[in-house]
Amino acid sequence: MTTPSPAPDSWDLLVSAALVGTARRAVPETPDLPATGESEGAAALLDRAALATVRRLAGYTPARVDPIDPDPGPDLPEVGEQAVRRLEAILADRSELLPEWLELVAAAGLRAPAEHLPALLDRGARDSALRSAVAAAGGSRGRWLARFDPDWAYLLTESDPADVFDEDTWLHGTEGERRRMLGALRAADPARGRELLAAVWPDLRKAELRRRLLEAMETGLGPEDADLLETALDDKGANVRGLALSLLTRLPHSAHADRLRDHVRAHAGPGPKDTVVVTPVEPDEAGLLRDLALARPTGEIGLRERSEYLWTLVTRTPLDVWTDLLGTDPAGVLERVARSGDDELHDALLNAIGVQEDAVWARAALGLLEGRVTDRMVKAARGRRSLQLEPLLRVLPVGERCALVERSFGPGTGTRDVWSLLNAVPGPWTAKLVHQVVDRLGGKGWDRDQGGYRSVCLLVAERTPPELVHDLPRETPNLAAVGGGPSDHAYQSLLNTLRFRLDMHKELV
Amino acid sequence: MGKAASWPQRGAVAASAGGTSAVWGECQGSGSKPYLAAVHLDGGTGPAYKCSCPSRKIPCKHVLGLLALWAQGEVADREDKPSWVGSWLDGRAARQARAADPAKAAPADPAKAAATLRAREEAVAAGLAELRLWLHDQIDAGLAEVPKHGYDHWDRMAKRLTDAKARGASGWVSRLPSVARQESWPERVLEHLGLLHLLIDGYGAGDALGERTRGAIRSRVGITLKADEVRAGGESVGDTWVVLGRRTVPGAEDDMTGLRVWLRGARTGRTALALSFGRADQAPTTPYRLGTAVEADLSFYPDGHRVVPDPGTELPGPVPQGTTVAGALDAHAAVLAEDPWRETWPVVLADAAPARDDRWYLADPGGDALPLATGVPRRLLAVTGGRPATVAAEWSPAEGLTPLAVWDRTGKAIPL
Repeated sequence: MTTPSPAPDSWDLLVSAALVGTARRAVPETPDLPATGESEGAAALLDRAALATVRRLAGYTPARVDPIDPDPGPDLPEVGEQAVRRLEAILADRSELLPEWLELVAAAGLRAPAEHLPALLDRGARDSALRSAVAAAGGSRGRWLARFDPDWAYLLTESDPADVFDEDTWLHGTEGERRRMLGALRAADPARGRELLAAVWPDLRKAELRRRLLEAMETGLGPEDADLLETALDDKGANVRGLALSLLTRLPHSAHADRLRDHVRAHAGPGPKDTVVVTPVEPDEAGLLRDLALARPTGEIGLRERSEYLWTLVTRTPLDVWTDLLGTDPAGVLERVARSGDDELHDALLNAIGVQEDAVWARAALGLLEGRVTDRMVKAARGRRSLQLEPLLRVLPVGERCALVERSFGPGTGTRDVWSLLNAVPGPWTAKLVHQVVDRLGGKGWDRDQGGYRSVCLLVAERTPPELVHDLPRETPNLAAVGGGPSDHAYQSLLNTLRFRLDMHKELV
Repeated sequence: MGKAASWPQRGAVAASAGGTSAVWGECQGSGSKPYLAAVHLDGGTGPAYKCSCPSRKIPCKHVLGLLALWAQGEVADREDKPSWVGSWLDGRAARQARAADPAKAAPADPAKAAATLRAREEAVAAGLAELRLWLHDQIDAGLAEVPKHGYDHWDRMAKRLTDAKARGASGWVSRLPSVARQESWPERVLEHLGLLHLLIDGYGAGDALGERTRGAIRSRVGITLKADEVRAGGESVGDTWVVLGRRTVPGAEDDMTGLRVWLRGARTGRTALALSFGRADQAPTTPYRLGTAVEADLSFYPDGHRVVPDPGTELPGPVPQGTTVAGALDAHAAVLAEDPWRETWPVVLADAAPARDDRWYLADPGGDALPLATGVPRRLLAVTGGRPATVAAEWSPAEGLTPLAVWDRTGKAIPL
């Protein structure tokens, strides 16, 4: 506190006398204070202390401090009053709808209300999945604000569509600014961005900085970037190598991809009776670990290590190597693998399909071509492979993925299997799928399991396009069968959530 | 929060039937004042919580941290306890007894009430006379040992004042242990004792003082008026009262939450303070909403500032008239002249902009700046983008400014 004392000497004398005690020390004279009734003893000291205190309080003198530089603006227009109320409701108890609200705001070219930016920036600080949406909906005011709290610094590293490459900031800015500059340049001129990064690459001391700048290469990624990515594959930092490998995986015609194909060919081939044979992958094979961005193990090589080598190799190698190698189509490959009983290879292939986002292989894997959709999907959904279902479905167009699931559960499918299946289907769902699910709610074959019923309702509420709410029954389907109570409540809150979302969409057009 | 180091003072109160009756502690946070947290475990209707932090969550994180510490065996039974713990537990016990025996809640009787008041004034005078001697003893002996005193040292005096019906003065005494733990405690303690001494002298001066000063003294000592008495006999002022802002604070009584709402008369320029209280689990309510004004005749307490809340007729609120920093300090000094014990006062600064060196300030266009009591003024920055705006805040020379509300470019009031 910068309270200048009007009577520093008197006050200090009074304080030290009070510390020692008036039994041992006389009350100091305080000629700068008005006279008090008592002239000695504790009463006089307290009277004078009170005078000095009130004088200090009343005589407060202000500091001289320059205001901060204001937000230079201009900014996107703010959302309307109703959308502000909606956001308040979401922040209070519908957090799960926040990502959708933020995306709608950004899509409408609007900005979140200024008064709630601190709360939104806090959410982004806690949940990194929200960050780019918060950055987009926060506008330039959000970015200006972020500099005042270290927890919000993440926002300064998020790309801004308005970013324009600037040589000086690129060379001398903070890590976040350099990342944004490179991102802006890659969007406008990928080749120039690559050249600039390659030029500074050997001088970037911190692995974290190299990783973040390499991230910017994702924008405008093309075959010409392969050489720089190969350099990054030799990096000391494991995260840098991992990122380089991820980016290389998206370039199936690179020299790197060809080397991976060679590795696969060296270890896999047709076996007897239409099977596939895989020989163990060893760490000392020329360049293998380096091509897979893996560290050389320090200890003994065991089963676990070999599994990891095979898993990574299969995941990262273009899937076409398998059809070439076995002379059959994707479905044929998968069948041969299944026939070989090699679960490890099978799972690695499914993982590769998700990672490489290959729709043809995804259809094959989902068993579409064999007409045994239900069994396979339910088995996959129920078993330890359930995680693999979602990445496979994700690569299919919305209509196709919903149609596939529609055919995948029948009257005999239990509540939990329905939930597992539906949970693997990213939204938005088609009207047909929504109706099918809602018709079946609580119907025949459903466990009398309130938790399962409620979970399915939550999924429907989240993934149904909100305008479909008008087509859904107002009364809880099969109410008599589910016995009212919690299930009735779950369905009615499903409708409420859809109405809430519908209003939210209307407010943010 | 859940670490012993955050709780330099803590203890458990043993129950007479064995086990633990209550757990209390003082949590040293980033601010100068520790948060006082306590849990009453054997209160009959499940545990009750109390904390002086501004959080609306009940129990708050301090209470939870304290309980976690206790559960780990890090809070030992202690014979002595600070008076804020004692009076809270006593108050709860008394309320429980009253609830069990409604006949004791006596009905009002005017003649009897007047006699009660006289008896009360005499009891308070006797209590304050004793306090005066006690203060002199402290100063005679010297303050050097103050931080080493246990709670008992302060508690005895605080208890005697409570018995003498001077609850306000008792509160001043029970705050001493935490004052003694602040930075530059010798100065803070001497200020506190000096003002308390002045309060005693003021009470003794009686009619020699102005009406408002007398009113301020009586309420601070603990002689309070009921709302009905104020409505019947207090000054009534009709105006359009603009809501400046609100702030939740620990209540005068221990397990209560207080809500201060500041109003300013558009025509008279009078400042009015509407106080309301809620028990621990129930937020206090107020008829006043930020962004509005009310047309009403408000009844003032004798101190000239506090009013009996009256809903009046709600109107859209204009942006209140603001002043410079110097103007605000002048108004505060004038208030201190009537009521030197007043710890906080509302100021409205016009064209105030956030400023910063090693801490945050609000600066007026002339460059005068007052420090903020809070950390980064996040919402103020978000709403204004750092540009000048009208800001209402509570001012305390010791703590700094606590922003209450800002009016944005469109004239909309936003709570801070």
